[in-house]
Amino acid sequence: MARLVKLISSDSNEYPVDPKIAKMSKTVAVLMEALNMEDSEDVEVFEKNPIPLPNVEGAVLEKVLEWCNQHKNDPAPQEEEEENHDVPECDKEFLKVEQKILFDLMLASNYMDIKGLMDSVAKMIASMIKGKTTEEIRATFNIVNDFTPEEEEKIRKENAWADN
Amino acid sequence: VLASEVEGMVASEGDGNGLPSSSDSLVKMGIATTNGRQRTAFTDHATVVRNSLRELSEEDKLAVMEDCIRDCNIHNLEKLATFIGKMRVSRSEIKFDGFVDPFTILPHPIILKVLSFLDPVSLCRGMRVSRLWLRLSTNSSLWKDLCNRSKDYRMCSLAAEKQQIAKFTQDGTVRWQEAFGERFRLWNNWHSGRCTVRTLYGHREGVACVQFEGDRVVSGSSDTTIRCWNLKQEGGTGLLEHTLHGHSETVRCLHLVKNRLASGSNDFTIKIWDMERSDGWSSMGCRRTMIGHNNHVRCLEMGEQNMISGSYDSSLKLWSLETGECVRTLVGHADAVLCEQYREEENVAVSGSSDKCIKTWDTRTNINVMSIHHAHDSAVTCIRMDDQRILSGSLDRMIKMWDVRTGRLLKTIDWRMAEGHTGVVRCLQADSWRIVSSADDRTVKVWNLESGERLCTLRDHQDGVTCLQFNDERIVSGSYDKTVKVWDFTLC
Repeated sequence: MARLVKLISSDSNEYPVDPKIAKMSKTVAVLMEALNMEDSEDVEVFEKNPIPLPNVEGAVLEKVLEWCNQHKNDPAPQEEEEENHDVPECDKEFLKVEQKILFDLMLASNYMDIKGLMDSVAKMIASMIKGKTTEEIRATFNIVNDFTPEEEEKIRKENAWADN
Repeated sequence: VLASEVEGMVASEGDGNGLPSSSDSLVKMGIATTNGRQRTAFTDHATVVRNSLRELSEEDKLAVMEDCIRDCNIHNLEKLATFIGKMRVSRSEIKFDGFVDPFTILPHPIILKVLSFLDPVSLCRGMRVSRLWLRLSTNSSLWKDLCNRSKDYRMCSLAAEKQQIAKFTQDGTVRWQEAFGERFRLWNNWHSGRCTVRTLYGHREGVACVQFEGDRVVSGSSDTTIRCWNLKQEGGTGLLEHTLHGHSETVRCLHLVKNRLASGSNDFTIKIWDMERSDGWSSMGCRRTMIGHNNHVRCLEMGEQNMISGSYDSSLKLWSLETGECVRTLVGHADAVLCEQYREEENVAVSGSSDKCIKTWDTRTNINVMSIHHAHDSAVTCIRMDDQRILSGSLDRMIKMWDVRTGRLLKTIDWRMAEGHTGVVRCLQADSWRIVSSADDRTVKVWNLESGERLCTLRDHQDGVTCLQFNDERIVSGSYDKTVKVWDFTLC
């Protein structure tokens, strides 16, 4: 029997995954380490220690695991070379999802501490903001304008340098 | 007290039926699981604590709870973490229904992460979205990153950036957003060629060389004089402060460092001038004349201790500024030396000549370290060097970039392909991201150092532009048209 880590979603679904994929989540990796699952060959240990992810719904966890599976062979991320602000080519298709799912993924990747996914999703959300006018940004995310017209005008004037 | 109360809460949500809806019920559960008077006293007390907590503002509440959490043991912390997670999910689920602003459920650090991927214009537009967006998009860490991390919006050197940030620092706090605003404006102005031009009239013949430091500009001319201008003064010719006489032929080259000015001339001599000035009196004047070259002195540059000059006599000479003596002569070029740069701290000099050759020198030993033969199809008229590359301009209208160690050609800005100069390139200067060049085609051009892309062409001179110097704020240029022009990028 293969050694599989059992991840439990908030709606109590069970997702058996390869330890290598599970460990892409630092949150899970820390738990696995604490439970001595790291190098264990003992299937029992995996069987006995399901890992609960009470912040992540099954549907979202599935999506997260799909991403992890796609990226399991990626080289370790280089520290601090973060120059590119565009969504990586390999994630563009994956992130073409409903807005709600995108924000769910943002929360899940943050909770599970998966930096690569978090960066990609953040870049995707940023790309939905880029190049839009203030009104368009509000419309895109259904954001309520809670400024008075005077306040808004004042902010616009203070930052006029951005608009010429 | 609170710690054990929290434990009670966590224990209670373990029994299946979802989340605790009201904390009052928890207290009741606490009672149910324990007996005795002591326990009743505890719950009464807990109720009092909780009620007084409720009266606090959200901010104060948080402070008190943080203190309580700090007092928890690790076991309870784990339980708390799970509890908080469940609370967050249950609350966010409600908010996600329908079209609700998804940003309201994201923790602020995550929103900041999203905003950190925005360009500055989008970030500015985001400020007006809502109060939450205003608060987050004005977070100074975002603007600090834009100032420090991004490839764009740089200034001429790290030192210049430090100085600029100091200008926006008060009591140890940096106003990053304002600092960035200034950088952004400068960057855009340089990229679009948006600047105001002031023309300095006074020379009777063409201007051959120009230098500036702060608001002081000095220019040398075929009329044999050096003129000193003060940019602070208003009006056209009113800017002229002094005229330095001394040379008997065209003043071909100048180098101004603080209050010391070096000048080289077609009269074969070099002069060192004291430019110290104060209210009411002035000690400005020629302090030393150095004789040694057998032909026109075409280029020179001072360090702290020494100076190197290049001449039509094909040699370069290293002079001691203290004694005025020629320390050594660098021989190797087969024709007139037209341009050179001296990096005293690195003990390196680079020179370009009519023999089409570029040479680098170790100034401690006189050794010609590297030669790039036939660097151009014609005379090398101007040269600059930094840690990585050598830039050269030529009579052949090309600008070339070379690897400083190997002499390998890195890039050519071909005048036919890149909207380059259509005349002899007379002068060029570079900083961390841009090149500014001037030519006989009467223009000044600004280029991106990395890509070689032309950013703008500045036209106002009536004749070839022989010399220039620039910093983040301005370009000062001189021309055969007898004028000096100041192109100011800060005023638009």
